[in-house]
Amino acid sequence: MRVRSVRAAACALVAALTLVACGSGEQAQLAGAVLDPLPVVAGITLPDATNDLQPFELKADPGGLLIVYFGYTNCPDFCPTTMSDVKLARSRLDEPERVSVAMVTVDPERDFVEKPELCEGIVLSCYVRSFVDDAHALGTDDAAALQQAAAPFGAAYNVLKSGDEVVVEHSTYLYAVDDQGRIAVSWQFGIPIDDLVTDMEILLDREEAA
Amino acid sequence: MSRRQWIIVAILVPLVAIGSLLTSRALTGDSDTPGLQIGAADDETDYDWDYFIPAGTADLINSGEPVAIVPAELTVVVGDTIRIVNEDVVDHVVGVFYVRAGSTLTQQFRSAGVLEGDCSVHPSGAFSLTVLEA
Repeated sequence: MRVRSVRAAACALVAALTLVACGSGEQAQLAGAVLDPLPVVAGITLPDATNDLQPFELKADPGGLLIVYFGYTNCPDFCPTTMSDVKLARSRLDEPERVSVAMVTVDPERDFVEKPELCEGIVLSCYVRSFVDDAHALGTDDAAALQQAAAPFGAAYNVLKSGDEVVVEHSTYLYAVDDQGRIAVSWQFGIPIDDLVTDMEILLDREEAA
Repeated sequence: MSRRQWIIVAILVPLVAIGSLLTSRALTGDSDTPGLQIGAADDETDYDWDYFIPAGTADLINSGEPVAIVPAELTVVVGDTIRIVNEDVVDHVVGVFYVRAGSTLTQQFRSAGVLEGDCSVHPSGAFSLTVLEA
C-alpha cells in the first residue's frame, strides 16, 4: 500500500502540475473495442456458399470493410438482431458498396447443407441474403478449420446435442476487418445502430486516407 | 517554518489533492492481500479506467491464488474510456471484452447500457459493466 500511495502521490503531483486532462488515444474514438496490435486474419479462408463453395478470404476489398459475424441460422435472438442491425447500418452509409458482410456458421451440420424444403441452395446462403442481398455465407464441416478461423477473432462457440435437441452457445461479437485483413474493431451485441454507422464511416475514412 | 516554506506547502498540498482525485480510481487495491489486485497499466494513463493483466496471471489463477484485476462490477459514464493491457501469455476474457495475449484493448463508451460477461481475472468469474448517461 505504501508503494502505491507514493506512486499515486508522485503521479498526482505530475498530473496536477502539468494539468493533464483525461482524454483518450486516437483509437478510442471508435465506439467498438480496439486491440493493439490489430489481430490479423488475412490468409484465413472458408468456403463461401454464395459462390459455389469457393474459398473466401477474410479480408476486405481494397478501401473497404468486411463485417464478420459468427452465428447460426436457428439462433432465436442474437443472430437475427445483429444481422438486421448490420443491414440497417450499412443502408445508412454514404458508400454502402464499400462494406461487405460475411456470416460464418458455428453450426455447419444444420446450416451448411442443402434443405430444398427451406431454401434453394445451402441454408446459410438464404439466411444471410434475407438480410443483406450480397452477403457471403461461410462455413465448413471441418471442425479444426472452423476453430482455426474463429480463434484470431476470439469467437467462441459450442454445439451441444442431447437427443433431438441442439443447443448452440456462441459469442456475439461483430467484427470489422480492413483491407489488410486486420480486425479493426469489435462491437458488442446491442451496440446502437448510430454507433455502428459512425464507426464504419470512421474506418472507411481511415482507409481512404491511408 | 519560514514564510517561503509555508508558501510552497500551500501550493503543493492542493495540487497533490487534485492530482490524487484524478488518478486514485485506477490505483485502488490492497497489497497486504496475496494474489493480484486491481491496478493500472501505468501511473500516467490518459484513460478513465485502466487495468493491467501482468505476465504470469494465468499461472497464478491455476495455482489457486486469488486474482482480482478488475472489479466484479464497474459503472462508467458515456464518454469514458477504458484500457485493458494484457501482458500475460494467454488470452483473457473481461466481461464482453476479449483481450488477446500481448494486446491492449481500448474502448470509448458512446452509449448507455449494461455489458455483462464472464471474467477470467476476477474470483467471481463475471464482470458487469454499466454505462450511464453522462
